[in-house]
Amino acid sequence: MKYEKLGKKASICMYVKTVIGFVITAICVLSVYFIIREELPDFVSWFVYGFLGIYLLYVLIAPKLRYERYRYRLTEDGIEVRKGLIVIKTEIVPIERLHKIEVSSGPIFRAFKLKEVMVTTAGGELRIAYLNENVAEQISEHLKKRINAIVVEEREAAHGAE
Amino acid sequence: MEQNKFRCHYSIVFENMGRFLVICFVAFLGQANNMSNMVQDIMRGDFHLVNFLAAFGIVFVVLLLCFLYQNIVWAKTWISIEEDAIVLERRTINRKKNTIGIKNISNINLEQNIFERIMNTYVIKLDTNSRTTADKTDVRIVLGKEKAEWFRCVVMERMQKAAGEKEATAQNAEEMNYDIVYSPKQIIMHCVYTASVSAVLIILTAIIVVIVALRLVRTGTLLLDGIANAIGGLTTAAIILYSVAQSLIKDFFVYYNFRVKRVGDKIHLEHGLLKKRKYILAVDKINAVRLVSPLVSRVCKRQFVELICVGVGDENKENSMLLLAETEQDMREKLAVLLPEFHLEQGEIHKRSKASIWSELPRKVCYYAILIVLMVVVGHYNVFHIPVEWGIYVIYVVGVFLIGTSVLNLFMAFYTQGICLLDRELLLVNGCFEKKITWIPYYKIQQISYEQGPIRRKCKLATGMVRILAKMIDSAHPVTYLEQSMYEEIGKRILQSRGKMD
Repeated sequence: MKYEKLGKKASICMYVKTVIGFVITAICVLSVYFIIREELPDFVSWFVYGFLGIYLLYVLIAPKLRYERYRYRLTEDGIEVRKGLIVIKTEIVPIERLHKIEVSSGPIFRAFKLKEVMVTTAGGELRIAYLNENVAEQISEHLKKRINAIVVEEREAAHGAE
Repeated sequence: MEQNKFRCHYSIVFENMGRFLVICFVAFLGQANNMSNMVQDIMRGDFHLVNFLAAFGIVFVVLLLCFLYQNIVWAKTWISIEEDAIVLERRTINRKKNTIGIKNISNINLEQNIFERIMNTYVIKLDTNSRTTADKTDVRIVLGKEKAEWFRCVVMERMQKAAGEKEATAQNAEEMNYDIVYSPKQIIMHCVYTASVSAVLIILTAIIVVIVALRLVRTGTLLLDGIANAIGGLTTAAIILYSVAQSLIKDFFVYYNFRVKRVGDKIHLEHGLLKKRKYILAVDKINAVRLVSPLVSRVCKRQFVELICVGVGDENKENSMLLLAETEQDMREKLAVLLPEFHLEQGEIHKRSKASIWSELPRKVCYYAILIVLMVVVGHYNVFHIPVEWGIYVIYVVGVFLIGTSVLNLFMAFYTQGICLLDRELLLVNGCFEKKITWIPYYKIQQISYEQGPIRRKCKLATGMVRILAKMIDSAHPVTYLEQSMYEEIGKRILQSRGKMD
């Protein structure tokens, strides 16, 4: 089965989230810097502006790259997610081991009509984020159906063995 | 035998009080200076009886309140065994009802320390096969010896019933003939084989230092006054030495009278000299088997076997040992009796990819460069103001040692780290000096992930992690640098694996 890409709205949402992170960090760093500026040596200002400059560059480049690299795939047996910026991480979870399926959306996600599906196993969790609302619901439904089918298959196999 | 609703043994009040008293004792030690001042006041005759009585009275009232609280908790806590669950109900101010499904219990442990032996009681620990409580015991109750044995038998019978087993395997531990019993000599040898090299080196260094110091005192080079002045430092050194020595002999007390038996689909384990431990583990709840060879064991061709599952080893001072240090042949024979479900074969190990050096080298070069710069700066400018010249050379030696160990680790990893994709299990080989071989059945792997940085992508390599249900420290198992295709193959096998062991 082919890997699925995220929708266009996900890219904008990634930009918005990164920009918000940048604005909050910049306000905090600059506030602290301007309060204690008098007591600091001159070269600290270079560090502060340099840090903010690099962060700004990150804001411009990172969301685009993240969006391009984000992939997910649902098969009959498992879920696979591939994501990252410089280091790309691939996670594979068998549907049979799922304990919990959670569909959630925060205020930024709601503004873009996006949702996140989080699945939990006994070993950890896996998130497929920035999904369109209908896609998230479809994935959740697909997983529920597959889990039920697996339980039925196992029950039948157990009866067959008896 | 008894009714199905009962309380813990009354001695739990004193056990819990004991913990409180330990806290009081530590607080008292912290106030030792004030106490010495008070003694001096008494000697001078400047002593206020009222103040003393008030302080004593406060401590007494706190102790009394604590005792009353523990009594209320004991009186209002009830345990009941229902058809398919164990219910713990506490009707104190914060009411709590804890229901544990018998089907989900992964193991039942009995423990007995010296106080409990005097009181003829046991601590019963129940653990469920759950990730959220994998790092702690789910239920801890104290019962009299007979009642504890009865409780264990009843719970085991219900567990077997829930699992659909016909064979009754619930048996009193006292009557059991164990398959494998270790003699005190074997346990002492286990302590030797598993001794930490650094601990042995510290002890040897301490002995040499003491001998040299005694000689210097005898020849008059070292004055006793000098030693008296350094009494604080010597006490710290003695405490460190004590803990190191304890780490070397601790295993003898922990594993004394180590016995194992397989009964039906359960493994019965018993060991301990001062603190007796009895474990019953459900085989289908074992998530992985690990074979460990510390440095001394590797030289002597020995290894011990640990189990990775929820319930054993999830608390401090709990151990998940299945077999003590053995030769490979003995170990395989014993494992065939105890765990025939695990095939534990060692196919052709796929060693860490040689090309991974290009991915690892930039990181290592940065690490070495930072270390060298630090070493030169600290040594050249004498940052720590070391008064003697040779002290600076010590810094250089430490730096060279750190770089040397890191380089050795880097190259040793190519010989030790590896992986083997067996038919039913994934075999992981890790560790440089201490070798660890872990067998994980594919159907017990909960998830797998692998990462690729730019260099790894270029070389088509990846490093990864498999996750299983276990306490935090044993949950993630790193997988070494392998071709990406190997990871895809592991992923495929995990997705296809289902069901139980044969």
